[in-house]
Amino acid sequence: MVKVIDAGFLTTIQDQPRLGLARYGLSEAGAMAPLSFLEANYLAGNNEPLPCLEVTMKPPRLLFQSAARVGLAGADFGWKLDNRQVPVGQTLEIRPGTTLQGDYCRSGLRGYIAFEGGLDVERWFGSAATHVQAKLGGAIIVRGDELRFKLNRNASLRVLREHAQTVMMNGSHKVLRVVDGPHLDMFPPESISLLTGTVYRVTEQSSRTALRLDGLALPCPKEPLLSAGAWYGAIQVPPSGIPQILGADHPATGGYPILATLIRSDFETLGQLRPREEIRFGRVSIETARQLYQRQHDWWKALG
Amino acid sequence: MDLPLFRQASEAAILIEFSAGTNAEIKPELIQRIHRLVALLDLSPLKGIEELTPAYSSLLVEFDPLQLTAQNIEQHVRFCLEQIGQIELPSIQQLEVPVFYGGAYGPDLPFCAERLGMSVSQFVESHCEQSYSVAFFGFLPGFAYLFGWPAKWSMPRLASPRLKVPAGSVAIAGAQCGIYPTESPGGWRILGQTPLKVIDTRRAQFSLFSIGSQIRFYPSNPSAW
Repeated sequence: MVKVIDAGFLTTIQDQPRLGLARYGLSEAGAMAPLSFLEANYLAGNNEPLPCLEVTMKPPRLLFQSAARVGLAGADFGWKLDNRQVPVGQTLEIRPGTTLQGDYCRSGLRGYIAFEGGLDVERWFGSAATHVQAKLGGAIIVRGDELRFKLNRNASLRVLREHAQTVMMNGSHKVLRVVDGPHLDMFPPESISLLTGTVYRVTEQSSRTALRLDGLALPCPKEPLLSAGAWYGAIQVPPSGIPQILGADHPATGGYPILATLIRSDFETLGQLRPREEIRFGRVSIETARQLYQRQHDWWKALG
Repeated sequence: MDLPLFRQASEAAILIEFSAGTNAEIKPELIQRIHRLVALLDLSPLKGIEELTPAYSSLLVEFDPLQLTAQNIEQHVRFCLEQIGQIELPSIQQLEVPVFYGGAYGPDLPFCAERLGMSVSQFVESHCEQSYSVAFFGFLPGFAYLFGWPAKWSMPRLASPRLKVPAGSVAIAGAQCGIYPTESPGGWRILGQTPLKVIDTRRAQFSLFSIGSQIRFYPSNPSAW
């Protein structure tokens, strides 16, 4: 068991996305940095992704009251066990009475603390993911919480020489790749080239619901659309002309036109963006998007 | 009916539009067609479909790009649309929803009645006479957009939304009705409150209603609950 001494800035239980409730108005939730989520689970010794903690900006302080095997991945929090720096990229054997803690993230925004056997939490409609916006499923961790897991020491200790982020993320780290969105033809033709030719800055208002940006206002349709289904990665352009990127806790429907969609294999990049960071968009084909997603899938399969 | 427009939304999503997206008129036949398509896709699912999100005039299909392409979805949807008239669909859920009208439960009831030149009790009677259908869910998880209120009795939204609308509030905006599943900010006119839990995470079915559910309201009072 783990006791939460301090909850950090925003620590939630995350899991695979919860599919099938969009038609009832609930989007999928799940890890906002999906590669780091998989990596943490791999390092913990799990052969399939299990419920774990998603840590945002400032990590929690956890007191281990029983032995555990833990995997840490994602943003660099300068993790420490009882004030000793811990190596990342390998399974941590944790003894009872040990405290895990870290500092404000030095790079990236989100990290994962995965436990061998997974957190012992109920899955609801197939997932323990927390929908933070709706406060449904999973849990937002608070001080004093006691977290249980089912340690069974099934797997051998694991090491990763290369991190998902360095392997899978595009070199310059700040480029978000997009494919054309469904409403591209409703925009003036220059909108998409302005989107990909301009630097945008991430704002403090960003959350799991949407990444909010500052920068050039794009020319956009004046007429509002009838509400239609919305999706993770959709880049919507409200009347202000400033694009927003929908996250895992997005509203299930929306009425803003969608100019482009972030490709799935760049969700990790999206989830690691920090306020005030500058980004660019790059336009790729659907086929490229599929191949990149396939590559990520192959990376995960090769681990398992 | 015309074939819909298939708009590729990403490597993992396709947005199917059944009519131009800028016309705000609610068309019951169109909504029914979309619901029948959802039911057909549920009955003959393609492996790899992850989400179906219907709305007033569109259906979003999200899928696993390692198993399916937008072309696969388009083909399958065209095939389903060809058979849409021939297949018997599961029967439609009918629900009676009690409402505590007026007072603190429905602060906008007097305004709404006056606007239509009705007494409060005439207005409540009119609200209960109509039969409503769930068009789709949005705004909040479990928030059902209901149609069935006559367009000629459309109600304006509040000029500035309330910061807190209690869970269960039964409200109206334009010709749409809705029930707030959870406390939230909101700009719709509130007529009353239902004691029913419209969403419940402990139930096998998350939402009390589904798309297509038919709803009638009836007046009730807290002492009956």
